[in-house]
Amino acid sequence: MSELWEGPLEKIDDFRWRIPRSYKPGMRVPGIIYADEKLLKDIRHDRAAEQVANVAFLPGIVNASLAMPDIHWGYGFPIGGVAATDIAAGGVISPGGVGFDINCGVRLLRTNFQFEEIKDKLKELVYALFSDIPSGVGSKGEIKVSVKEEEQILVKGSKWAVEKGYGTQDDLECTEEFGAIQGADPDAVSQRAYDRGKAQSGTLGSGNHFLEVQAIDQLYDRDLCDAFGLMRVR
Amino acid sequence: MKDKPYEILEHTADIRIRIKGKDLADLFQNAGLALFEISSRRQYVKDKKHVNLNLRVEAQTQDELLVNWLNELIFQAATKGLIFHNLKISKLTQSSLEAKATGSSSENYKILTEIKAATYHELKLEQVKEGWQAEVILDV
Repeated sequence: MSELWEGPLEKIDDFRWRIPRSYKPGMRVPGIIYADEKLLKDIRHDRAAEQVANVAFLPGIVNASLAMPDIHWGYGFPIGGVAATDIAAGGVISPGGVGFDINCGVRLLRTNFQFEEIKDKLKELVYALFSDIPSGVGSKGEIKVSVKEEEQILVKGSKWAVEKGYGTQDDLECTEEFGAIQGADPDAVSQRAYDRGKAQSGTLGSGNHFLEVQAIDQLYDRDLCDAFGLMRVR
Repeated sequence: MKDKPYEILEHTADIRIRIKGKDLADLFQNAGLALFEISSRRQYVKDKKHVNLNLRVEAQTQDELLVNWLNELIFQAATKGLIFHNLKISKLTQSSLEAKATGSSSENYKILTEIKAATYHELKLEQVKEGWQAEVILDV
């Protein structure tokens, strides 16, 4: 293990720790790490806290450079880092703040199965999903689109897929921002980025993108779960 | 067997590598090959055809040139479905390089991990006693 991070962490309460602005000249705001004492020990084992302090240098940063309890060593930003910048105050948009995988998202799909019904078929289920859903490096989707069409995907998001019959209106209702954040400008994306991404349409993606099958053992928000039609394992 | 010209150093979430070279061109070649040695293993012979690409990379500084070179290789490999096994730098200045990259279809390889990009974070490029040495963090 590398050396411990020895910078200052001032206790605000049991779950918040402050890196004061005085730690490094140039910090515009303090850093605040959300963690309990046990997590904090781990956090000191890499350079993540230093990165929280570095993020505090960002032009236009508002209030504090924050880090969530999953904080660990990234590059530029720590992973688990959160910061808001005020454009009016000279703030910047930092791709590092979203780990460069901009628009990496999460979807929850409900099945009609009860855990009891499929628990003896999990292996077959996983194999079937793996063989039917293109994923991983070099995977190519069934969906081949032209450059013009690729631009449509960029602007319309999930709505494009629904128009092509790959989804239903209900899918859009259940997706953040109805599957497309307004105001995308396809011309702002470089030709190289299109080239790099085009084989991935219709795939799960590569790298650390994944699919998992889960059973529900606890409901935290009854109303929300009712809306999604989610029930606990019986 | 000769020592590998690179080693993998500790990093929590990404891959940090240290690369050595007897001169700068040697270091650039070793760094480029390290990308593909780390991320793939030759396993099958599905497509014997070799592909040669002539690449030209430019940058403002030597550090940036190293990162741009690695990202050019990653881009070419990803978009053309290739794994490079031979790199030859033919011309190298402070701000540009010309190289020939030879590879074959990625279908001949087992892919171990995907390197998405070379980053500037804690980038090091320096002259040492034995030649040149660099450290680069790769985004995986």
